[in-house]
Amino acid sequence: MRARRHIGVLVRQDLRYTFSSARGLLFLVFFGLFWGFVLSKLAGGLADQLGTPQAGFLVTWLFDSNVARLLQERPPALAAYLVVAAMLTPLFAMLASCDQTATDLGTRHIRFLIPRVGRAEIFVARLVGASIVTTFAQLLGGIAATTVALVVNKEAGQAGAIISYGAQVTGFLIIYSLPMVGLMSLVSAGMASVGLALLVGLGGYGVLAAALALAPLKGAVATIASFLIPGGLKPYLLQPELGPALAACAGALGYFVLYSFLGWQVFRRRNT
Amino acid sequence: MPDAPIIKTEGLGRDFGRTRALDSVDLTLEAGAPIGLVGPNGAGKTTFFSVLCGFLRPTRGSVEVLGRPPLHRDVHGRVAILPQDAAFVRGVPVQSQLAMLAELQGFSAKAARAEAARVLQLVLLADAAKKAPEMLSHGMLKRIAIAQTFLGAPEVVLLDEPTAGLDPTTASEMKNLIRSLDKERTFVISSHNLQDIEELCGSVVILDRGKIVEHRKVAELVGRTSILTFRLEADPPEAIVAKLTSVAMVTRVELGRPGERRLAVHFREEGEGGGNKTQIAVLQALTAAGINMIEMTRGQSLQDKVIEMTRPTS
Repeated sequence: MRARRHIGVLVRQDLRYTFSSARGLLFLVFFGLFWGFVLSKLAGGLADQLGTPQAGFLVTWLFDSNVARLLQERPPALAAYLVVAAMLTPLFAMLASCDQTATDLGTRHIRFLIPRVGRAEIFVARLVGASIVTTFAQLLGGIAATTVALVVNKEAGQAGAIISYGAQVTGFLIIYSLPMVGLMSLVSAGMASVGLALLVGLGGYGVLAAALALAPLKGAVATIASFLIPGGLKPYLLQPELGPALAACAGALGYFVLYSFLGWQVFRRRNT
Repeated sequence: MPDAPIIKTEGLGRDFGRTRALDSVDLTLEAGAPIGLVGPNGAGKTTFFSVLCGFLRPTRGSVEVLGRPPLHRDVHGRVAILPQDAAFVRGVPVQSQLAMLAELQGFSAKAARAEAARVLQLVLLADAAKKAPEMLSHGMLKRIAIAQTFLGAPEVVLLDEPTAGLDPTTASEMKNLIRSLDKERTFVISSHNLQDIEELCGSVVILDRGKIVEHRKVAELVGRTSILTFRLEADPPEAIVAKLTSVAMVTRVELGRPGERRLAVHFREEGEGGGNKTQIAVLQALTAAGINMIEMTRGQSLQDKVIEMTRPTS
């Protein structure tokens, strides 16, 4: 009971700081401007073009046939939003969650907290705070994308299906963000500096993703290697059928639990 | 555990790489008058506080605070610390931050705001309540950090250099504040300002190179009655030792190191007013020898004692 109350107080402080600090506002403005630009393009006719069989050839070449099917079988604006968002979620989620325990440790603010609350409560509160921020950002993006999909929709009686798929896409992206939040809990606990945590998190993830993309791996080895990072789940997320996407979400939650557990192990042992 | 010592360590050690910051520290501190923790730079004072609060894990030995390990939930809110180098969150008004800390100690949101206002008033910074930390001076931030140690009713308050960086008037006000609250809680004060320790504390722990050199009452340590300590205008000549030793009741004469301009005269007190007679005789001998003094202390200052006890042997 006391732990839950402590976590609540810390999360409230965390969110207040995030939404009032220059860094937090900068992230939201950057996130908003980016999606404003992308969604305006989709609303301008790009979404409809992506859903045509002619574009399907290009999309298959760029991604795979599942993505091409996704764009043809689902509302194209939302499907295109899902494809772009899934590619950029690691970047945005890491940006939004890079400062979990890093500032606490770097400025030694944690020394005001430790005599009052347990380390586990601090760690969980920062993790929950970062998860709420990324969820909030994905929610805003999802609402905007669904609105655009409704506006560009020309078929009558499709509003319900679009809203339902919009909610599904938003849910997928929220869950797909969580592994990055868990990853940054690990990196921020290890680095004790927001800048360094971001550099190591993004740099490490980027280098590994690039190495996996360029490595001449084939078959089962390639599949297994792709799961070294949560990006390996993306092909399953970007399918028109619900089953693979749900499996990808379950996998994402697994990564989240694993990274968060490792983050906790680093945080609980480190000197402050 | 009502009768447990406030702090108990056994064989406590903490290493940083090859450096032994704390070495086999066995210490038991009881609740009561403020306790000073002194020693030269690098003696291990801040490390000791950090281990007591669970910021650092001991390399060896055990530590208990209020009968529990430092990070135990039963200790939360019962021990407060003024850390030397912790910062408040930028951009958030200090009263909000203090209120948040009070909420973590179990206050309701409304009571926490009132508690934050109360402690800000204690450190005479009620006007700064709405200001963010970056708007405040170093001294003001120090007082805010002191204020957070008074939130709620902690039984033990660890103050690491509480007057460092404060102007003399504010430092005096903070000392008065500590005096006014020392009946309700036990302060453990680490400071290089030994005059502060002598004024505030009933007992003192002297640390040197990670080891405890002494743990005694301040009055016993400074030998109030049987030593005269002089601060002189110049280093005294060696010849003064023989002259002063010949004074009745004088048992020993110590010269300070070159440049210290210091002289300590130990004497035996016998009979009523014997000490005063010896004091007058010593003063006469110094005047006769042409030695001018700046200050005389009956007893030995804590500073002299600590310097003596922590002086490198080589």
